[in-house]
Amino acid sequence: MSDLVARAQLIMLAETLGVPPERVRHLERLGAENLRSLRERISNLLFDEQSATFARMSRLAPLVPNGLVARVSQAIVPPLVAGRAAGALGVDHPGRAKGVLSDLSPQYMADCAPFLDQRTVAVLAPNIPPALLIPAANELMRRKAYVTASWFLDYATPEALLDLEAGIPDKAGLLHTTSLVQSDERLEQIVRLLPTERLAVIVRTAVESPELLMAGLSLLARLSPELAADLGDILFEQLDDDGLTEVLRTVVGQDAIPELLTVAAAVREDALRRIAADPFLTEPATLEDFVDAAVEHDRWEGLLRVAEHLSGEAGRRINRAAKSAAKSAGNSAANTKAKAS
Amino acid sequence: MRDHNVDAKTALRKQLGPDLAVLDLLTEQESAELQVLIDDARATQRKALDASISEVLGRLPRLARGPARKIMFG
Repeated sequence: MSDLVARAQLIMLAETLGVPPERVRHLERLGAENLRSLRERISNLLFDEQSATFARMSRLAPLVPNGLVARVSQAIVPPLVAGRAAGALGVDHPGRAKGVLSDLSPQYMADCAPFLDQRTVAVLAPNIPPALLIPAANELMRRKAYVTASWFLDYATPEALLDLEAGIPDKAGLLHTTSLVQSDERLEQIVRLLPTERLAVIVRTAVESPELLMAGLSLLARLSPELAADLGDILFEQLDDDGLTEVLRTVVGQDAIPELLTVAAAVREDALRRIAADPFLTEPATLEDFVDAAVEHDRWEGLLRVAEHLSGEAGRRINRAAKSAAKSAGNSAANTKAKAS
Repeated sequence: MRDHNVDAKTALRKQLGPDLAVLDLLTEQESAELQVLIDDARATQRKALDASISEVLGRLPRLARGPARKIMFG
């Protein structure tokens, strides 16, 4: 599976540069963190070189009432400009941000969202009532603009996150959006904040399509083992036997075996037993794919946990491969587990 | 050709910061291409901003237009 977070950063970089993602696709190899730092510097450059203009625009504010700002903006100011200027104006006039936002349509706010200066969003976000943002957030979900929506999650307060989750009925969209949050630490904070029963509703949407499954697995694989176990169990409980086979087929087809093995290293015995019992897993070609992924991505812990529930040649094949990998790479986890088996 | 590309990388460092480690991972050609994209984005932004300011000033209440023009253009 290509790295979803890196791909999200690539889309944001393309948006910052005002080009289709294809123009910068070759930079995906740089990885999420590098793409993020590159995009942030370019974004800062674009904002900072216009700071004098934004400062002058800010001095116009006392001359223009909120209603007129909103009306004129929506009528004639392109989202690129409105988004770029909004942050600077909002920071200078925080008391007016609420008033202007409440007069803007959710569609226009969603149009402007990709062009906001994230540095100013961090300053403004805590003072904006979520009720003003929820219609725009739902519009972003309707457009499937998950990448743009995801960076709002970086700055939302705990209270706002709870309100946003409650105000967005598209839980599959929320799964997509949450899976694109850049920092693992922030992702963990967000997931911990939401009550389990509300998280379960979101996680269960992962079985609705291959794309959602990839988002769900990517998210689970980035969480701490304890959280990945809780949510992974919820995901596997949602699947009947045919559904589980379909998930395994999708995982192989989408090159997401490393993510599944990361989750397998965390989930509880019931889920492992079911994975091991799936007939698709023990097909020779599938088994080789899993072994290859464990070798390439060092995901032996998850695969060896599954192997504990396999009998016959399949289990032996995995343990042989793990011993061989441990011998050649000095992989301590594989060595310990393989010796114990 | 080589000198031109080296210049692009140097220009990128100057614009984006000498401490930006990711620039070390770009090939010389990628640096040159990125430089073009950044220059285009800057030009597009400048044009859009200028055009919007003119249009917005034209929509302000008549009494506010004079002071507003003075603030924006001195």
